[in-house]
Amino acid sequence: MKTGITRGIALAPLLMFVSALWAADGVTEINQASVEAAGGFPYTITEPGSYLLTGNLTVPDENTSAIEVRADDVTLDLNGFAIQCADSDGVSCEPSPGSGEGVTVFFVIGENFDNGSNTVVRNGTIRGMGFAGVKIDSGLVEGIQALENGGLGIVMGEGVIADCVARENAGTGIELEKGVATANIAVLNGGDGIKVRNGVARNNTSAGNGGDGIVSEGSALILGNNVTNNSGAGLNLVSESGDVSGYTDNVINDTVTGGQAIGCNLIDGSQICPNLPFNTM
Amino acid sequence: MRQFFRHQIAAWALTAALALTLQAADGVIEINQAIVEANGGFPYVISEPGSYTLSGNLTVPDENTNAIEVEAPDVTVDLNGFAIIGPVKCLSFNTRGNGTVSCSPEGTGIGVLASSAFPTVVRNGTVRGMGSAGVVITFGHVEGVRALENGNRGIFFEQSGVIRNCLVELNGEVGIFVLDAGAVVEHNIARFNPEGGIILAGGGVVRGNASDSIFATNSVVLENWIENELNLQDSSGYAGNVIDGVVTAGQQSQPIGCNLIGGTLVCPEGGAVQGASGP
Repeated sequence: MKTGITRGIALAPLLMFVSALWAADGVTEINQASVEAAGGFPYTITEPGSYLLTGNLTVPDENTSAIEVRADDVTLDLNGFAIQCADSDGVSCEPSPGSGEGVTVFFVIGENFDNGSNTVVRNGTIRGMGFAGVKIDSGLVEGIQALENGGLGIVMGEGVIADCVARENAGTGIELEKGVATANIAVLNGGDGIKVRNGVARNNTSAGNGGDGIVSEGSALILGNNVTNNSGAGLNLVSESGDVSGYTDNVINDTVTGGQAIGCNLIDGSQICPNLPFNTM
Repeated sequence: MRQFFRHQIAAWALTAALALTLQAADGVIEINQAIVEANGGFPYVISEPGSYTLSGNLTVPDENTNAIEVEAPDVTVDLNGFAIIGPVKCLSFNTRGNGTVSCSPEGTGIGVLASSAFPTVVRNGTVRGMGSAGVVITFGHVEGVRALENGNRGIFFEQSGVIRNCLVELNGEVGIFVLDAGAVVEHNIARFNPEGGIILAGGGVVRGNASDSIFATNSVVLENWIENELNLQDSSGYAGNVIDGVVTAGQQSQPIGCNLIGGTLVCPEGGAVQGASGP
């Protein structure tokens, strides 16, 4: 028996080595130790590929970003872990404004922007960063909980934001320039709940935000959302540039400003339906 | 010393074999480059139903080689965050579906091919640079797959199935192509595929995607963001889409609700509600 145990112990490092080889081949693991070994935050991704958190990441202050993406075609799976902010004593950073971001695409205003498209971020929590939880150029954000960040929750240029929660961020919860925002929850953010400039916002919940519930300053369709108890308008679809947005099938316990109803909505308990058709094809 | 090395090599071989056996013992069969080569090289043929997971990237030697061939029903291939990689590179000229994409070298290789049995599930990883297509399956489910720079199609269903949360970009011809009726295509991103972002040739539901273009036959197209063109044939309906470009609809294709087309709200006659007034 002793011999068997001894052999097992002897084999353990070898098994660990084999396991480490697998981890190192194709999927890059990220954890606090590997970040510190790589020189500290921000952890910079410069190659396309799959990256997997294997533990929480804790940045030291509100001006430090956690992960900076400088390559196209990066998939970052938070694997259920969190990116968070805490001081050296482990006390969580107050949600105060700063420049730190949880997952960010490297971007310099005024310079050509060639890297950082097609980013996928999924499955985890980003809490208490100085500015944005997630800020990427294009791709897919799904299953992310962006909580108590000092600025924005989730910001993307073009793509799909799905099944995410943006809660108690100081600014806007979810902001999308082009694409589809679907099945997200934006609650108790200091600014607007959800902003979609050009695209579709469908089946989201936006409640208790300090600004408007759902906003579009461009051309968007707002479909089947629940919008409740926001400090500003429920839907704010006013466009200074003259763009038009439409909305239907929403339950809105707030006001509606701008836009065109394209079907029935339940607004403050009243079913309100438009005269159709218009601009028929 | 020579004997010592023999023992070391034997120990490593035993350890590796033991580790692989242990990993396989939970019913999930691992695939990686070493295992493929130990089994005679590409293509890696799956001939038994079950769950298979990548434990490393697979790199095929040339543009004419398939990576994984599925010849059994009821197979799940979890790419586990890894990639199947071929030698093809694609370049885009001009922009967003109006331009062309040039891929080279041309070839016949496919990342995951399951044309002789179904259903097949492929999930969670990347297929890049294959000579022909990234994923080709008969019927099944593809989820969370990134298909990039493949010679012609990113994801191709010979019959139908579900494609969800995939990102298909810069493939030589089409991003997502479903041949038969019965497809659900949802929450995907399809950009820079010159002959179509999403094509449903048989029919199905296309919902909540962000795509340069959607071409659909006998389909329901709902709540997508489309950069360039929505092209509908036979009996297709569409509603809730934001289309920056144009809609091309055959005689039997109709809006079934309002769409936002080129910045203008366009609603069908006999729309959802008659006569009521509102904001």
